[in-house]
Amino acid sequence: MKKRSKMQVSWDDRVFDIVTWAFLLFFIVIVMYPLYFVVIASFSDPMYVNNGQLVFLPKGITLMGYRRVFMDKRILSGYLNTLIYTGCGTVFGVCVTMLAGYSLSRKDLPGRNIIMMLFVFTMYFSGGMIPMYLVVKSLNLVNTRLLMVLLGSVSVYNIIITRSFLAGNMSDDLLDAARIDGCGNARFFVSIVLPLSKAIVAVIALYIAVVHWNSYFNAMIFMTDEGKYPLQLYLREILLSATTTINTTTETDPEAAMRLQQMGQVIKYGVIVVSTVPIICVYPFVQKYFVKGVMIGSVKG
Amino acid sequence: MIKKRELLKKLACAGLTACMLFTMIGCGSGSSDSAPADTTAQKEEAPAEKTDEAPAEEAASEAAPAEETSKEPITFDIAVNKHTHSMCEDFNEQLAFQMAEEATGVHINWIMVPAGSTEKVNAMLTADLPDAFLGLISESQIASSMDSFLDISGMLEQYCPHVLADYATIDGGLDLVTWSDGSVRALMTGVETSYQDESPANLFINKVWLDQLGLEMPTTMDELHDVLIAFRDNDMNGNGDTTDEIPLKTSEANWAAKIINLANSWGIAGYDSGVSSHYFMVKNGVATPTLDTPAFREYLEYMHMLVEEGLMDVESFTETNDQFFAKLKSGVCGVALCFSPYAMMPEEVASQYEPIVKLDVDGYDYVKTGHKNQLIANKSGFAITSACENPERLLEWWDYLSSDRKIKFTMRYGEEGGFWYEGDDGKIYQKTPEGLAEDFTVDNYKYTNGQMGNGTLILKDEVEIITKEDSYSIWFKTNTTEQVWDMMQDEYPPTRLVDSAKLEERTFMETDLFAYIQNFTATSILNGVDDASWDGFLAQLKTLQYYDWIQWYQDYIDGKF
Amino acid sequence: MTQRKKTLILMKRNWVLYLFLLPAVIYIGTFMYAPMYGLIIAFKDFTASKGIMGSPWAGMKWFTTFFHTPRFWQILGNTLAISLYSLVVGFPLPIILALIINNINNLKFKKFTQTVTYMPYFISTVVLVGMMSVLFSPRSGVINTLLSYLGGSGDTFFMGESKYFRHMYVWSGVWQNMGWNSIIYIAALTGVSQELHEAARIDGANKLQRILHVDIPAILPTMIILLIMNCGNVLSVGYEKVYLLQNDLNTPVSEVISTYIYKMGLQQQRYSYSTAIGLFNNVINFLVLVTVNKISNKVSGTGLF
Repeated sequence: MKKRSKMQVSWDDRVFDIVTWAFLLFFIVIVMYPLYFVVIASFSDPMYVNNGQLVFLPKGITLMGYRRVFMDKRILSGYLNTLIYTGCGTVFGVCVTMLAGYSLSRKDLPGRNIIMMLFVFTMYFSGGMIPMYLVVKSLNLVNTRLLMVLLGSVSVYNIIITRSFLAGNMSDDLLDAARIDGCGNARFFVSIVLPLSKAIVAVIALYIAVVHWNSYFNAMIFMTDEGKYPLQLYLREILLSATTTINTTTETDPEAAMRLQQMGQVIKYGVIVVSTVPIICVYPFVQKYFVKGVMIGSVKG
Repeated sequence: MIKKRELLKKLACAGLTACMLFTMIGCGSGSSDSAPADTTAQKEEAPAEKTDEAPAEEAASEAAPAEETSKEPITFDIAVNKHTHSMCEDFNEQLAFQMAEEATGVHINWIMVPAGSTEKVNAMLTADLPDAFLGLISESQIASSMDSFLDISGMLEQYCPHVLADYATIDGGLDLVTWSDGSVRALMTGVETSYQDESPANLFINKVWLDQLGLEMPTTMDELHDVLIAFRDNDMNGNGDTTDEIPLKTSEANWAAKIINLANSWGIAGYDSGVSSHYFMVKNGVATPTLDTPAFREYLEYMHMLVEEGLMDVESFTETNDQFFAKLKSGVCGVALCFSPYAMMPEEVASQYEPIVKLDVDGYDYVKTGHKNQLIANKSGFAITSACENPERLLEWWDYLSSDRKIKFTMRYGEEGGFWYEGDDGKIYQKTPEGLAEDFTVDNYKYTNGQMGNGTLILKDEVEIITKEDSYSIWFKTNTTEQVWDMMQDEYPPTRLVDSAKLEERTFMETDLFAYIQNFTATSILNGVDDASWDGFLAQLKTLQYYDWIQWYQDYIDGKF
Repeated sequence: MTQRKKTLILMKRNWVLYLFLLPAVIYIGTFMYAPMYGLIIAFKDFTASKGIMGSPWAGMKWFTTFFHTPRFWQILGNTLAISLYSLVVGFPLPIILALIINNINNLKFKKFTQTVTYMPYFISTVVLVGMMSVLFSPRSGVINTLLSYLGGSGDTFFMGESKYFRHMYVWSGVWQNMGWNSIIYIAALTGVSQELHEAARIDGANKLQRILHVDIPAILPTMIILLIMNCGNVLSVGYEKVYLLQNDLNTPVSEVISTYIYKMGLQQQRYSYSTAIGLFNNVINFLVLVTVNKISNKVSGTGLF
């Protein structure tokens, strides 16, 4: 098979391949170097990093950054909390998003444009943090894990993406055929739509998981119990040191603040590595569904 | 196929759970509100045990207040700033609060707010007021939300005698915390003054390099120019490269390295480390503009000359604070503007530097940026809110914590004999505490065991003595301050609370005005000034209300509000 | 049958779909619509002690204050310039990347490329800007060293000269987001039927032609939806990165609405003012979105609503 397709490669395809490969390689190098820089910087003395003396190899090797991050007991509970929030939040979010996205993708649903409009409206207008706080407080959700799971799980953006994906991929014929077989909406969704839209489920899950993984703001506002802090809030607290503002109009202990800033430099890059590696590991699972989709298609062909 | 069906079932289950989750929120709060209630109940119990265990230190009995009447237990919620260095999980572990609880019966339920959570504080202000804030509220927050805070002026005499006695010793007294309507909404925290910080930024020169070249310490800007040229042209650090030295290092990313400090030589000085404090000076009670003067233009031209000749690092305007630190640390800077070499560099590098005391320019009197006897206490440190039902008890608690020097220091640094001790001469000294480790530095110690800047007010005379042996770096800075002290200004705008309408009036002018001035300054230093750009600058100052801004300060000085 | 009856029948038949929508409706109702009354503080003189409802009305005061800011037009211009530049560069590149990745035959290399290009998304803005400052330094940066080998001057002041600001902002954004943004297109491309590809190949279409005539039409709806949403962000330039890239030298080109809101409003607890500017911002955004959506509905038959 492979041999035959190689022989068929025509002249213009070869040009196309060369151009795209050149583009890809160039882009990969450009992307890879700064990533590599982050990794070697996380092992290096910040003096060399910030003086531009770090080019290809780590310099002044130190594990200070990682030590500082892992020294704290809170990092473990942070990881655990983030895992819980991300896991539950993603399951919840995917369910809500898929259900809503599918309903809105159906052209025979009266009122879908109005609902859509109302949804989209919230992407642009929000009441701000204070009324949000009041609402959360009235629901008695302040300082609860449930809140951390809920907030950020459902986004209109994701619903729109899902809707347009499903609208494009689910043909009306399929629905008509199913209906003739006596298949109701619920069963059609579960047994036809879901299996055919693994790719979009994967994408939405990834989107939601990443939002959860990276979020700290809601936790900062609504959580008072340190034991419930997610990883990112805790890391932010460490990192914030680098931006501590000092002035002399009130007592700020300049020396301590400066020591804090120096510590911030050491751990900055380590923090990136520590907080990113787990979520990056999620991607291969997502990819699996992209490739499978293609393979199913090609088997049929 | 079977697998598929299973998957579908699972998905359906997940969907169902999702719906159930919803009903949970929808139908209420029943399930969730029991949880927080539980935790508060636990918290209320816990301290009772703690106080039993707490060693009844002699200090507690020594400092016990006169009134024993109101000792029945009471609990307050206080939102408190938790410093990044603090490893304390609950401030009730701190000795001062255990002593205070013992003495006054007041138990505090601490709401720990990590540093940098302004948004959280703002949300709390509107939606969830605690009984008090400690170290979280700014003066402008009180000004813009006056009624959220209780007017305690009428209660101080009865419940805070110690606090009042302390304030009576300060220049300005109770007026320092009194608003224009006569109310007092917060009490001071921190220390009254801090001598070593009164001159924030100083020039330091690499004495070793200077000696290598056989040059004298520069005393004028012209001499500095010559020294910088020598630093540029020679391989000062001896690495075989004559180009890696930075003759003059300043940085806009660092609070104490801003280039405006060099305008001191032209008689332009500020009253704190902020750039905008250099934009006017108080002379004989008159707020005098500094930017529209020939002096300012000459300063810009001189700096531009340094840039042209490669004597100054142009990255100063764009670099991050991290880059600034790295450049200083690597020992390539000949002359550096900073807080103190010992705070920025490793000791072996820092020891090469000596302060440049004064750089004269013909026709101008040198004035140093700084503020003699500056009150640096936090005037909005401890603020009781309108949600507090029993402010009298809380004030008593605070008064106990202010009642004598020892309890103040216990609140600030932790127990006696740790970071501080009382010498034979009756003065307080600093010492290095025991039990420090790489993962538990002296900073961790101070912020874990004490409140530092959020402790009760420590007066000028009470401040601990720091010897050369205890902390060379602080001693060095103090010594530098001593040398430049006489050249600092004597007149400053007053330190008085300003109500929100007036404050608003000023800050509205500032965003646009300052952005413009800073941009003009930076581009002029980089690209030069000519008559056209200078005239444009003068015209823009007028349109952007520079003179109205100065008038505001004039009215403030004159006591019009 | 009248239109109304038809609708009623459809509603009855599809009642399950409304049930499907219910969770999302409850969520959005609770967490987005319930707090929305907070917008009225744009028309009030908000103080924390009086609360949202209790604060006195200020009418259009904050809006007029903003329009009369000396730098109003400059700020608006900067915002538009940056966001349009970002749109023109940042929108097509992820699509191109997705198409190229989709065309890679080597499975391992394909996965590798995807993973690598998506990673920069996770680097926090603070670190990104810090890294840019180091790598683009005129004194010791790698980029300038590289440029001097290639015959450049080697001391280009990328972070300082204001003429570079927009390029730095936009292209670093491309670097960071291109891979991430391509994911949705890669997913959409899995839906392309292989029969069509095969048929096109038999007809003698080369790779480029197949991309143009098979792949792109398949992802066109997704592209259009995303384009519409991007257009609806024409006045939203995120605050954090601009703020961090800002310095005294580039403020005339780098001040945008979001940084201005931050400095004028949030930094000084002027909630009413910042809400008013934000509201103005989003009214424009929403109007643009509705307009673009309408055009798209007419031209391509695809739209949000």
